[in-house]
Amino acid sequence: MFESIWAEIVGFFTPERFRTLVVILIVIVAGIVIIKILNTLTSRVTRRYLSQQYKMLIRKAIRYAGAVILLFIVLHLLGVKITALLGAAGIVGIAIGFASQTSMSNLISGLFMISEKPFEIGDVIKMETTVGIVLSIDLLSVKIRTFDNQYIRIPNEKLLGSELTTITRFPIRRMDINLGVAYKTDINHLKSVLQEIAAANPFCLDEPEPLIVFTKFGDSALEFLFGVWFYKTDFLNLKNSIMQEIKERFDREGIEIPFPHLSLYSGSVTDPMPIRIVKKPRSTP
Amino acid sequence: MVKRNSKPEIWDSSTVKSETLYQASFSTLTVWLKRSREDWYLASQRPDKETDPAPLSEVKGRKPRQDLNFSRWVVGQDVSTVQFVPAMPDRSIVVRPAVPLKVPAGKDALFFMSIPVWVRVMAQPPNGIILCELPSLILSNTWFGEPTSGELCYALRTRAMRSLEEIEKRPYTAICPVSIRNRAPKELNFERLCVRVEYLHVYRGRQRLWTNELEMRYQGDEHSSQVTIGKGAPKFAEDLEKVCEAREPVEKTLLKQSFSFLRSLTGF
Repeated sequence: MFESIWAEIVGFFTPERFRTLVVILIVIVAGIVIIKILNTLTSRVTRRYLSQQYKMLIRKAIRYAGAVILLFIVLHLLGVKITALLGAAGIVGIAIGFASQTSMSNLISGLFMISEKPFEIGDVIKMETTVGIVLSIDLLSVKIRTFDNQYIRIPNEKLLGSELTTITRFPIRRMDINLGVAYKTDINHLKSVLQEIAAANPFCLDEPEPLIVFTKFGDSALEFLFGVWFYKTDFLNLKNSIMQEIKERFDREGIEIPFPHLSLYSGSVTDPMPIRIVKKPRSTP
Repeated sequence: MVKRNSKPEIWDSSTVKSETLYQASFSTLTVWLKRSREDWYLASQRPDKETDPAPLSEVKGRKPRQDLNFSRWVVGQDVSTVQFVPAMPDRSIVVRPAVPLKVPAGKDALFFMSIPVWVRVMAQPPNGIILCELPSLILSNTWFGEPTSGELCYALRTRAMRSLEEIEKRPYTAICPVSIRNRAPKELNFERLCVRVEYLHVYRGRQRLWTNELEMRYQGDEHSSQVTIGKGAPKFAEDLEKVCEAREPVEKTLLKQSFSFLRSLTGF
């Protein structure tokens, strides 16, 4: 049994076929090396001029185009007729195209997105409830890493059809803090306190100036918007420091932050509210 | 060589003994230093109020405070000398006068601005090893330019003194003389000025630290302001010794849009 199989294998590898196989092997190895060299050269040449996203795209284009060319060369060496194959590939391509409409839609969306360039690798983006750092922008999808270290793949078609926020597009941003203070608060005093807090915080930009807007008369508080500008990388530093500074300074200045009170009753809901009777202080003559 | 008092000064180099705790005060910054056999330990602290400046001295009979966060450097046994070097901050500074200034057309004005230096801690010999750089005063960040494209700078309020006597002698500030020449047909409304401190050297005088002189030539809103950095030490003090090189090579002329009249910066 084994002897006959071995004899068939030996019979198959005629000197001519063996030579063809060696040539194919050399072509594959040389092809892979050439593709790698081309990729390295392109990366070096485009290092200064192109963004990471375009560099990645060029690298992938070289890799896939090189692989296809290599495949055709190998098929030609094996004696397969390329013209017939291309004809068959056309028919197969149409069939695959019908079967993979979603992928094609993603691919075209990817091309549009690459030309539009709404964000780059390393940007922080927000889509619906997902926020994360862009890891790669591919033809079919965008991969992001969330801040709690999850890997999320968003199809390009979805990205193109949804509202997308590039959080780190501009170098500076404004952090809006909504504040409610008691109705008895002196508004001018509050404004000067907020300005002092912003001026004392090194992460808060002096310019553009902090924004203080009296937004509305709330149900139980005067509501203000306190907007402070910061450099995009200082988000956490500013958030952590300024919230604490507002609380501490308000406590020192006696500025009250009202909060809703919740009364708990045990037993029947119809019980009367407890009342404590206090003596009226004697008035001095 | 510049003659100095026999009393050690804050910017003089000092020899550091092993297993001894040292302390130096730059009024707004206190530096703690300890040397073990091969390693150096460094911590810094910012007092709530300005303290009297004090050169590096031994802290006798006291253990390091518990709340100090020491960093450790592996420098080797042969390194035994420390020097604090005054350096310019690592980013440009946007200077705003405390009171808006106006310079009429064709007029020149000379101002003195106090710039808080960074304390560069250097261990020697053989060559100076930069251990770290500590800002003597933490300046607030600010933005110079449009919100979509601009430059992150430090913010500094100045009283833009016109005479040297008015300026307090502080160990942690360097005086930068700024000449403003208004060559435009209209008055110059000096609201803010971006000082490219990375191009400035630091000089040490008998009583103060200095930087190169700056000359700003304003030619109108439609033209770039010409900023020239003076060659060598400023002429307002004698016996100046260069103690710190500029972070960036000094270019002869900087064509920068240093004055900003864009009120839109404050918008939202």
